[in-house]
Amino acid sequence: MDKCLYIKRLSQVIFTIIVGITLIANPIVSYSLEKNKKATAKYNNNLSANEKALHVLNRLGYGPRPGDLEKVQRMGIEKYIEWQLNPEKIDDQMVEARLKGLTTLSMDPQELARAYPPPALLKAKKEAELKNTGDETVDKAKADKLARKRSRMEINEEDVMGRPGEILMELAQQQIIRSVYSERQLQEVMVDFWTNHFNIFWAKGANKYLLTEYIQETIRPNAMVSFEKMLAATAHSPAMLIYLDNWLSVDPDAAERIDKQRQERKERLEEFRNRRNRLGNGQNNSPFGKRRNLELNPQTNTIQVENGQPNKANKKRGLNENYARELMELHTLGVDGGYSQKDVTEVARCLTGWTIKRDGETATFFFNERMHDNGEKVVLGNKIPANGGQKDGEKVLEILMKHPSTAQFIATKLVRRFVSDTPPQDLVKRVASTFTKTNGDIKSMLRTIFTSSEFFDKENYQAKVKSPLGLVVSALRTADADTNVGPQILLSLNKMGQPLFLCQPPTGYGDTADKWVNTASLVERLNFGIALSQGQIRGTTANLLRNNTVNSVNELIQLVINGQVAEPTIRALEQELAGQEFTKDKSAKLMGLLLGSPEFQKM
Amino acid sequence: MITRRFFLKSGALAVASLGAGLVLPSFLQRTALASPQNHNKTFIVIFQRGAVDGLNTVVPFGDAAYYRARPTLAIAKPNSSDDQSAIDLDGFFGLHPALSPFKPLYDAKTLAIVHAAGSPDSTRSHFDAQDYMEIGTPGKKSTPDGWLNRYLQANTNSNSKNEALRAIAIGNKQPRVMSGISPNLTIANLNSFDLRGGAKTSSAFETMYGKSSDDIIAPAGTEALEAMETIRKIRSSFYSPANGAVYPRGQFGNSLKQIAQLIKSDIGLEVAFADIGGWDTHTAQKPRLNQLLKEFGGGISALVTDLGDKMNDVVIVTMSEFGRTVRENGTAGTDHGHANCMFVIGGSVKGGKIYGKWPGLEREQLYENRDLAITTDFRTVCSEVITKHCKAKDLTKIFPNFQAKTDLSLLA
Repeated sequence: MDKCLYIKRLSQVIFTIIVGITLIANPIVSYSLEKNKKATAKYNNNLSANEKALHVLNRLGYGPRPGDLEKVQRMGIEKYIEWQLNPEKIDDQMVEARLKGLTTLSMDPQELARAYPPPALLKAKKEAELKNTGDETVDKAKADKLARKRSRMEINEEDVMGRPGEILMELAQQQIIRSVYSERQLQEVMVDFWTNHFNIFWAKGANKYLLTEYIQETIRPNAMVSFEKMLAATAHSPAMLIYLDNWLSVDPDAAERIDKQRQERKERLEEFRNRRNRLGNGQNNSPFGKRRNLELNPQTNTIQVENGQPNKANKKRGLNENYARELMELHTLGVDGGYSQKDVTEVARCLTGWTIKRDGETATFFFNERMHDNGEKVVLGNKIPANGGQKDGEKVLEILMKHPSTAQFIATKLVRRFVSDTPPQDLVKRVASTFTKTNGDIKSMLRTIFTSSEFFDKENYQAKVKSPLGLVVSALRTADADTNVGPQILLSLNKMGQPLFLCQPPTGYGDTADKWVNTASLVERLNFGIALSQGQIRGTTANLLRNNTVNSVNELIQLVINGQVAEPTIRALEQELAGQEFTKDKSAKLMGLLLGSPEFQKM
Repeated sequence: MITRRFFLKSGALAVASLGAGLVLPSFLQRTALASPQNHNKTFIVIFQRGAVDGLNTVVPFGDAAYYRARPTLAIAKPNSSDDQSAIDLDGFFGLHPALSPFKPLYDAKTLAIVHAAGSPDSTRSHFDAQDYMEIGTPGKKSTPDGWLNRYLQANTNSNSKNEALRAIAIGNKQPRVMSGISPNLTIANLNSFDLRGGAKTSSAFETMYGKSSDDIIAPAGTEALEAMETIRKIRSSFYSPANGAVYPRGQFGNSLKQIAQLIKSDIGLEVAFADIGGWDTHTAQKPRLNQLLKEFGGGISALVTDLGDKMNDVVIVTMSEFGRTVRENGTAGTDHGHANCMFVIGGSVKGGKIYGKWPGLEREQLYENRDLAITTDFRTVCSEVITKHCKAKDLTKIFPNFQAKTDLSLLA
């Protein structure tokens, strides 16, 4: 062939190839560019390095202390997150030193009951001593017994804040001190999370003495480990069984049997006493002509005065479905988790006998087979054969763990707490999937959340409202406060609407803005910030301005907020400054305003 | 110099803050009264926490079983020579002697009583029962808000100057009955309800919140600041009760006095709440109940006296989480019971009467063989006040799953 033609052909082919490649490559290149652009666009749409660090500190903890932002940026976000996910490896001796004075935290329920007897008991004892009639020892012992029984079960409002109130105070102090000073910030957030998820009201009955154990041994050690373990621990907790009344729950047939036996025993005792009376022993001051028996009615939690006749209570003793319902509605499946009223009853049947053994003023878990309904049950479609005893309840926990609604419910709550008041559904799904894959491993679920793009989405930045606890703790941290968390701080929290451990309903304190934003609470938030910065809180000193000199409004904003604020806030500060100098006094006033700013209420 | 302009500006607030002791020239009085006022109705709820002994408060002296059950604690039949005996009301019921201030109110037909009333749930736990009575859904714990808040939610008031001022509870902690999404205030003391640093600090926050584009916090913040501004205006160093009213010393008297002050200030208060504790008389009931009823009766009658004509726009309802056992116990007291008595007081109340069906105190007539049985649900009483007095429209939202079985016709 012609050499010329060959070259021409070759160049045509090459040209075609080049054009071809270009044509094909273009879309490929532009596609990957596009993808990168999207990724970087998402990334760019997201937070600055500073904002990311602040976000992590605000969500995985209670906000930055001075220097924390730089520390996180030095460490790197991913490293910081991993570090926080492994609290057992973080040294925390400093915080332990601050808790030394709180002696009740290391006392067991028995010790607490001995050290802080309920005021009603003391009062009744005194009264018993005053009204001594007839046989001294007999009457006194009876009055003692009665007073003890009564005070154990019935709580007078006044009792709550009596001496046992010190126990409550120390529990609240511990939570706040740890939240302010612990390096294990994420762990403290999780302790708060689970304390609310598995809420128990401190003031009910023996729980005044049992809650410390509940927090120290059931909640804290499990907070970042396994949901399965935590669920089981709460189900076996005497505090939980008392709070949600499961300790009373009994198979109605068994109850009848027990009541009958009790009645027979009473009649025999009556006979014995009557015989004794006829022989002239002991006095009989009873207005009904017979020595009265004082019975603790477990169903109604009160002392009943019998006049010797069988108690023909119209109400049959029986199942108490309270715990069974909340176990599903609040602890595992969620209200829409797919259980029916029948399931509630069946679960209650499984849990009969899960009760307590009274131990002076306190109690321990005890499975009472005499109270248990040993029949066959069906729970959420699972058949539980008869005669399972305590295993029935254990089987229920197993079923609930495996139910997909539990994974979904727990995932939703976690995403709501850490990401947004309106949890992004896709992330929830992924977290639920982690739950299922790891059988409820808490660290894994958290990791799924913190490594998600949703977590760092600008939409979710500074979008949540801090709970009162969050506000108080973050204020103390940013102000570099040295605090003993005295009564003033606890009272402030009360006024903001979050008295720790005193949440009556089992739902616990909420996690969304609408729960916390109300007029009265806001007034207290504003006042707290002012009091803190002006040194008006006894036992608390804000050191931020001691250790830093501020010369401009912007400097102060950076110091306190560690981020940006809106125009109106800046203007308010400038207004307050009114062109004057930045004296320590002035700076403190401005800091007070900043702690009350809308920006600082959010995280 | 007090000018007409001053009064036009501050209107009734000015009158209130000057105290009723000051005598105004008649043209100023007319001016003050002529300024736009909300003749809105106020509903005051008073909660006796701890389960007051209703049977010794409104004594069924006509029921022989009462004396059989309470050999030492019963209040004696009315006897003019015994000042410890019951005050006769209608020949069957009488008042505890310490409630003597209520007798003139009863006679003037301003005070009505509903006996054997209460919450149908069987719980005898103070906390649970108070909870049920405040969230208004006995038996259902998960209700997120209180029934007074649901009233506010369901009945918005377009005339209201500040939503948060529609409902005020006196106390340290927001009572459950007020909890919910509708704004309301909890004030421990009018004189100390303010921002630290007063008006100046307020002004700084007003700038911050007022101009903020944040839609979650800012609106509530602005409302809070406005409410504080209003309260600041009301506050005076010395409030003088009208018509010679003397409030008993102590927290309860103080709470009611502040409610009176708030009502007279015409800030648009629709709902007020106060509570009084200490009623849990398991032991030594006689002296304790005597003391408490003195405070209770004295406080409420002082409030009524102080409000004077304004009582035409006010209804007070008292309640307690449950009553106490019919029989006295072994320590000169009573234990947790069931039904109780409620007082309903107001200008439009058809008083001078005891409402409700008396179930009797014989064994078979008792609840669980020990307590006074309930024949009127407390929600029936509250519903009537809410519909007839507060003119609420939708009761089903306020008391879900409740249908009043009787119409007591308590109000005119």
